[in-house]
Amino acid sequence: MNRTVPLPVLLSTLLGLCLCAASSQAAGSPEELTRAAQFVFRGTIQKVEASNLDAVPADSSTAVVRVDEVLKAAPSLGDFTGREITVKLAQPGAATPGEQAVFFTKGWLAGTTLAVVEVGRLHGEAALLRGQVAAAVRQDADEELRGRLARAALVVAGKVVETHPAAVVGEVGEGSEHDPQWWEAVVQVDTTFKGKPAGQRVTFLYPTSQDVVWFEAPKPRVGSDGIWLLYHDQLPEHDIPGYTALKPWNLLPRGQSDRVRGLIGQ
Amino acid sequence: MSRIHQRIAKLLPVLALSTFAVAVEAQVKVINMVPNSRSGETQQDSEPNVAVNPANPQQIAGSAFTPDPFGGPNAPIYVSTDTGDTWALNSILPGNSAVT
Repeated sequence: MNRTVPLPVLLSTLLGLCLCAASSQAAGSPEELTRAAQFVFRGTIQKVEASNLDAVPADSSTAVVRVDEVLKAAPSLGDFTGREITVKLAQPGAATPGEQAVFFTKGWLAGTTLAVVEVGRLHGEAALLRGQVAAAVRQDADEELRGRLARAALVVAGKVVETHPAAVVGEVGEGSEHDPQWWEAVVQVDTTFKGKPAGQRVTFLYPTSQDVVWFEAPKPRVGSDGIWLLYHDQLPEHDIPGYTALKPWNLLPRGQSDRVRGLIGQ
Repeated sequence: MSRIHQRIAKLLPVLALSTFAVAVEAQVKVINMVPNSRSGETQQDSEPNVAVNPANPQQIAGSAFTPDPFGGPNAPIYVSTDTGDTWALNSILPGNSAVT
């Protein structure tokens, strides 16, 4: 028996297949892909079925891509602009030498160069995509800061006028290499964003230790100036009296004042 | 050849082999485990550990207090498949922070 597929059905099927092929490379908006990715860059495919990292064998799912512009990356990653990296494609074989696109990827290996795993790829006008990715990055950063501001007990701007050893006795690594070696900093407050400081001066604890647990904490000195996010419960399993500043983001530059004010909702 | 000379002649290969073995053992290669792409990083990378695959000494794994270079939630391990000549970080270990 002869059966023929009606043309509309055939076209619909082919169209669906084409859409599926496109969507498997870009399953989401620029905003969604930016959130799903750790490393977003505009790049040019140099070679397909290739790898420039010994730990990644070349096959139909790998391609060497030149990073033309970094749009989102962890600060600690460094600048890979102009360098070639290996990309494990979301869809094997779906890459053409010379193809230019914005790649949304997750980190995989950091060796002589990088190997990343593609979660999406978008083609389009560079400036438009750059703006959309930047907006998504800004929105995520604002959400993160909004959460930190919400959890802070006090948010003030001011200058450190005094630092001295703190008489804090507790079990936070005391006696070990992880002893925070607490000091106190006194801030002369000139602006209050959140909370009610007891007076014009606020005191908080910070670790002076350079141990791996504490080395990233702010190390204020007399004259240190900025916006201080101070907490009561940064170490919830320990009963630390007073305010603390234990993370790099506990201190923001003065230039962030409008942003902080806007996120707190003043 | 006298008996003494004969004994010395017999011992010479052994002595030569011993000297060579000592010379080989004295060769130590110092490698920076931080991968090339991470040169310039300023993390502490403290409390390192190294393990060699006894079935294949070319495979070496290392660990340290090194954060994920991609800024993700996992911690990396250092991996070498060429007896430590080159290394790569592979962020596969679940990690977390006790401080919010």
